[in-house]
Amino acid sequence: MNIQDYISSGIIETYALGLAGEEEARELEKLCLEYPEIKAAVQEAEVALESYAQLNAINPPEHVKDQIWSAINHNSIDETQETTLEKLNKPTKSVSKIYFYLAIAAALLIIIGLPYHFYKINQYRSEISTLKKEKIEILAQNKTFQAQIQKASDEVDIVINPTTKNILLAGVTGHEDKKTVVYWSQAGEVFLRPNDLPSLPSNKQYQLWAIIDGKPVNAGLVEQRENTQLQQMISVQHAEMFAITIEKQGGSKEPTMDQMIVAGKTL
Amino acid sequence: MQPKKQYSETELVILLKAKDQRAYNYLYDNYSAALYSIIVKILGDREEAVDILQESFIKIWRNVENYDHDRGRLFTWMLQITRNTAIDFMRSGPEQKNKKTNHLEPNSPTIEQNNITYLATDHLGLNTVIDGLKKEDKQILDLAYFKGFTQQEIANKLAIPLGTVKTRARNALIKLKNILKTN
Repeated sequence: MNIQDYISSGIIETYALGLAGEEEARELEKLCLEYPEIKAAVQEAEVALESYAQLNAINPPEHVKDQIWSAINHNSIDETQETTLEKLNKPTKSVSKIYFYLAIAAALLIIIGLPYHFYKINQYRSEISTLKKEKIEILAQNKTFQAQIQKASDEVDIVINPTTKNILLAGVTGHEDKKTVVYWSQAGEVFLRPNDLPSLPSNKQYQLWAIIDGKPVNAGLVEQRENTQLQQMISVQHAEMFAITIEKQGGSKEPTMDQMIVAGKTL
Repeated sequence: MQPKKQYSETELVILLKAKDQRAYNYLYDNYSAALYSIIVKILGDREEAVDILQESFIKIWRNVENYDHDRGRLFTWMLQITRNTAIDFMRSGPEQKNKKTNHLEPNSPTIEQNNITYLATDHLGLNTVIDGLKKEDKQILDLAYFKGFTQQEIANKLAIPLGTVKTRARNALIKLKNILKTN
């Protein structure tokens, strides 16, 4: 491009007067960096305008110089104070405000939370006491079970002991479908499987008899209970037979012979 | 208009950035009258002109750190601040003018400066230059340079075609340059 043509195109003057378009101005500023001649031309125009401004100058009133200087200093002091105050106070203020609100929030939480905590503590207390009770019950049950297991184990020992006699009590005439077994140890202990027999009305009860020297001797009332595998009866040292009769609740001194259900010989 | 003391651009910039009173004195002594005349041109001869001058100087003083002398002459920058302050005052009511903040646009031309910032106009008779210009030349220079009118605003004000504005303004400035050269 021809620099002289560009300079004399009038763009420099238009630019210096602030009348150049945005694009024109941008282009010119770019060209100023490349071409010192263009730079110098723009400067010349600006200097001319500056001179023109100086030629038109009007002196402000005398006092204005000092007035403005004191205003500058007053303002700059204010400004400094302001910024210092801003820097010092604003963060502190906002921080302390944050703490203030946090404190209120914490207090509210505690106030709101207290009844809930009391409620929860009571709930836990009652739960703990319930658990303690349950624990005691379970321990008791455990002991019961241990005792039952021990007993069952003892009973099994007796039953499987080769010296123990298994005596089959078969149904007598009219009760052929019924039967049970009596386990009779060498030591004379007598065990019965009560649930082999059909259950009775609540006013009736089975009663076991040992026939010793032809005479029936009470060997105990049968208690029909669930989960009872073996019931220990009254011990008998010598007996020819065992028999079970249906008696009234609580048993009888003498067997009701027509109510005999099962019977079996010991030999 | 002879400066009391002459500083190189570098010295002046250092003094200005140090907020030295000597820098203020320099600025005021050299430019306050030229700036004041621009305010008077925009406002008319009113008592508020002094307030605007004060406001402008405060802005100049506070923003002097942002002045980049690679982007234009110091006076051009000061003139823009002053002109914007005065125009803002005219646009807003006087009661609002204190609240209003002016955005300073650094749209000064990108030009390297002379080392010496004073102007060698003292030897020129005011009339020599002014008389060399026609009334219409002065008018368009006033509108564009002192009052910051846009091309469109000048066209409206002078009732001339938009295309004529640039030509006439440019010719006025060329004429001004020639008068200054020959004197």
